[in-house]
Amino acid sequence: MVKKFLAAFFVSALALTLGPIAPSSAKEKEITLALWDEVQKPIIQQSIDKFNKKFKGKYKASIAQTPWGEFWTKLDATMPTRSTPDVTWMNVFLPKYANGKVLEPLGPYIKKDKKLKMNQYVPGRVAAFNYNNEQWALPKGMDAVFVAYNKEIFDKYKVSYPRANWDRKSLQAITKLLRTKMDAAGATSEYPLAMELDLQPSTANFLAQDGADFVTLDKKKTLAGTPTGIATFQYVVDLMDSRRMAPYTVLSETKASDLFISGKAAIIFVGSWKAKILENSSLGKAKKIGLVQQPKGKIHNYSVAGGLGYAMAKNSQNKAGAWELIKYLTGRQSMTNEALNGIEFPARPDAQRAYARGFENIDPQVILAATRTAVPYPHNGNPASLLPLQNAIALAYSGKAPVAETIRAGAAATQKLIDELNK
Amino acid sequence: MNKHREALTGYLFIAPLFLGLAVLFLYAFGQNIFLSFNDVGVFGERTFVGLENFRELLQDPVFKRALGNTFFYTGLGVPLIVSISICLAWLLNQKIKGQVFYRTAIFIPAITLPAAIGLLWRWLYNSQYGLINFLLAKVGIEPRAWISDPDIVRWSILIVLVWASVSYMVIILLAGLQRISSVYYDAAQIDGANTRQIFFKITLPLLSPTIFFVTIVSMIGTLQIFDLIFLMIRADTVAYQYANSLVTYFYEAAFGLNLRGYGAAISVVSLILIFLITYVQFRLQKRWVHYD
Repeated sequence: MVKKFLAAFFVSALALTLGPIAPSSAKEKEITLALWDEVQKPIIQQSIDKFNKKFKGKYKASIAQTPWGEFWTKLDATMPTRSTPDVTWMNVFLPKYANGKVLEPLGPYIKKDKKLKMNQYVPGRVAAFNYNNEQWALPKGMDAVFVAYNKEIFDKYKVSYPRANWDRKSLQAITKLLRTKMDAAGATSEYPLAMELDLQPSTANFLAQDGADFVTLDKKKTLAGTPTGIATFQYVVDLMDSRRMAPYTVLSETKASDLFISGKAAIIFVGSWKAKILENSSLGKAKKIGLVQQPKGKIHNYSVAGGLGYAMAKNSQNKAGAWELIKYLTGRQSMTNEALNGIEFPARPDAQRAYARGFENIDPQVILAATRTAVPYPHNGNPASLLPLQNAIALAYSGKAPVAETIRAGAAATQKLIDELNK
Repeated sequence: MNKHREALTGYLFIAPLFLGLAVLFLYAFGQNIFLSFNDVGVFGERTFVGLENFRELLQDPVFKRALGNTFFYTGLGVPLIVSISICLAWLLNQKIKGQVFYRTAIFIPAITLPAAIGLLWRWLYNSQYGLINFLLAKVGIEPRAWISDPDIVRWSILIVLVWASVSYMVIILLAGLQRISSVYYDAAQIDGANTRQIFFKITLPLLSPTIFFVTIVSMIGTLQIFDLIFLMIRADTVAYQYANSLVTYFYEAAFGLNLRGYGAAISVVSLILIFLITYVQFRLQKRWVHYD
């Protein structure tokens, strides 16, 4: 009798644990927004809180933040399932998800919604999320890359600050002078220059500035393996070899922005998504950070510009709520708040004016100028196809293999994969 | 009839565990083997390709390097883990001052999350600002790029792997040592055996079943090494390529490159490897393991 009772108890306990798996029958429908940036999260949470207040009793939104390194892995695993986030940040990887039929086309929603005017967004950013004649996301913002320099280090070694309209020759001269003075002072763990190893705030810009795009605008070719492209990589490797840039081993262990903020790097190439980190750093608060455009390469000094959008999952269990959330987050109020807090340069002209007001310690005009001349971030939307070239770049930067051969081989392997995709 | 009822009650008791096992393990296990014979797209679209994934593996230089690295971690790691654990367990079994403190200190890695271990050692190993290079510089030794130099990264991982694994094995071996009856030691001492003779002729043979268990568990664990590599080294760096193991390559193939079928094939190869090595170990145990 006791055994039967215990057996019945444990089976009941098992049944109860299955309870939470059953769909919620609560009146408020839950909506999840997936994003990766921990700096942006608290600001976007403010918009989420206002959305929840506005739609109280109808929808309840929440943020699911996953660090960048694991974000896409998690998204790939959840999007084909009912556990998918309803709304997700989207970037240049859009074609992969659109082709995989895991995104909800927004065209019908836009057409049906008489209040939404697409001309309230920057046209280029709307176009960035239009693929195969379908609109897949509403634009959130745009980013650009610029140069930040540590005035304290320049003052300490009595070197003149970088000037606007400088070029790579000036960069070479400044970094050489800084290296000489750093070595004379015994500062072997300080570096004149640092960059992130991610492509967007570094290599993709250098290649574009030399006319050797990482991926061409038509997404059909990579020019990284051309003589011009190889020369660009050699320029970076020479900077590392001469210790004018922090070596690959240091950059692969410590982020360039951390090196900069802790006074170990005098100059960094940095993306506008880190602008708030610079603004709020102790160096920033001491007004010791200067900003300047990137030095001119062979052709120009334009930044590559990315930008995020909000997309809806095809398997979302609450598409009406997801659409309301997307509209709200790309609305003027939310975008103005993001701009005021300096986390994003909005894709809405009527919110862009607030961006400059969000900075007291660094000059936002440099960032705004970079966005005005920026070129689209070079990507074909299929990260796996670009991996051989990215691995080749890492190997070349590490100094473990000759630059020309390695880049040529990586570019050829990537071109083969791109050609297969375009068949 | 009573026997049937008892059996039914027994099945009901194990039902929750068995259901969980069936859903989370058996189903996933079977599905993984099935997927290894397919080309699986990013979002689950499948095409049957037979043995094509396995044929590609044989020609894949990254797979060969991952396999070599896995054998490196296992071939060096397991003997180090077992021998260091035996020595430490034997020392902790002696009547020494501060025995409780030493046992606690040695046990700490066993109760620390692998994520915490990985992140801690990532900073200790930092070539510019890490504690290890700082201390080495104090004694005049040149700093090394422990986790970003492709030539030494495997050794850096091996050190942490051994450090993290030893504490758990020490506990098991200590329990094994304490099971050995003091009668054998008393008799040996009466016969005039010295410490060395007692250790090799009495302690080790009687501890051999526990050593066998520790060896099997260490081997299976090191053959599946993933978290330390994943947490300590950036995945897009050259050092990661030189340190990767079968499981990290499985993760990269399945979730980085979105080649789910190929990744499943890697995990099947890993399974066969672990099975074969464990089988050989069990066959060989008759030669050196002494059960009561």
